Amino acid sequence: MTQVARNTAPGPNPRMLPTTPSVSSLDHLYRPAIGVERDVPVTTSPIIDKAAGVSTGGIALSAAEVIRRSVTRPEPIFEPANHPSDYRVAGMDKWEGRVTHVDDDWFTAELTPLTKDSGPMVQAEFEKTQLDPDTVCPGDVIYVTVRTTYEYGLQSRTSAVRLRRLGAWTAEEVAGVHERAQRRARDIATKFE
Amino acid sequence: MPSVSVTHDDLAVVVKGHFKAAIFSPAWLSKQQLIGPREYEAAEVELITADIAKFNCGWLRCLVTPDTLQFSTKSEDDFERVRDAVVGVLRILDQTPVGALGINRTADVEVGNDERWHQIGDTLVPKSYWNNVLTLPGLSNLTLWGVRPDTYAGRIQVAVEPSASVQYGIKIAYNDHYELTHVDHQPVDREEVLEMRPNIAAEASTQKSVTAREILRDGFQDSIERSNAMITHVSNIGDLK
Repeated sequence: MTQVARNTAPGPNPRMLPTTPSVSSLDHLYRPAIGVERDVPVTTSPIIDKAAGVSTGGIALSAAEVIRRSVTRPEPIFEPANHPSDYRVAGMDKWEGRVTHVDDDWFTAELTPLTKDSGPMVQAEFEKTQLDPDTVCPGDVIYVTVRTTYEYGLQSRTSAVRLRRLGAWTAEEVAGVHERAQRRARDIATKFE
Repeated sequence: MPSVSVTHDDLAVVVKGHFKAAIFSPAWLSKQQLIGPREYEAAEVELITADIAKFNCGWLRCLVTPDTLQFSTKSEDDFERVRDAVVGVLRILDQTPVGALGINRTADVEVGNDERWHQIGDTLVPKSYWNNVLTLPGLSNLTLWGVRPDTYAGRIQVAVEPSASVQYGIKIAYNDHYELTHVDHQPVDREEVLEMRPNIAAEASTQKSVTAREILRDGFQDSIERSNAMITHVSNIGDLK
């Protein structure tokens, strides 16, 4: 916090402390409505379910862990990672695209990289089973994730395809978008006149 | 993605505002076409009352309280879909007053061994300052704020603490906090930071809901890239090479 970093400050100002939710309880769910009664800045950190912190030394026990270890419970069993220890993700790329063609087993999509400066628009084919084969159709918008992984020294690439869902739109909303798009097109056109 | 060994990678989009938790359910999300039939079938409801709705729909985890809408996922493949779901809710509930938006990334990073793990803690918080008053001091949690890189009011917050899920790992929590208003410029020195104090009581409005949607639509990838850079930066602090 800035006021702490400033050496002349007498100490943390309680008005400036973030409202980090307490962990492992539901009492943080009953805070007053935003902007009412609260005397500290709004925080948009996620509400979490469990306390964190393990081990000692350069990085220490959290308060929750000290309490936990003070009772006669077994040592923590570390939650395994989602992959074997030799597994390493060496790179990941993401695209957003539109389905342009669908046949019996495959569909084609035109993909634009989501990450800046990560290449040109590309076309790619995917098995329909990577989406719902019964519903995929031209015009669908998809997200594609491609990972380069190493496991036991061997490189492989995996891809995940996800259908984008924008929710139900009313005819009025669609008309509003259409009107705004036309207005913007006219504004751009006037800049070239 | 960050160029380090990330073992768990969560995204949570948090919107502060006035919400009626009771309307949120897997059936409502399905009816609004924000989730598909598979997610609806996979839904697990933990709690839905007048004040709290907490349930999972496959990749999407939902928590709604009177002042918070929090949609999250544990799968990096689904970050954009979480964003889309929040945008969809804000668009459908366009008369709901909103006060602040947070794009949160939480990553557990495996740093390899205890030496490097301690090196991160000792670099972030040098223990020489504490040794005379605290025996074997260690970093439990460190939170920093910084100014935003754009003209939105808000802050960037990053917290570092030991990982609860990886033995020699650290947890990095990145909070891209928007107050959904614009500033003429961001603070350029500490005096100005004090003058431009954080918004103590963010007024909620429907206009801010429009701004939140714009940010999620146009600034989401930038936020993810900033969090990637932060995770890589903090994780490499302990690189002894």
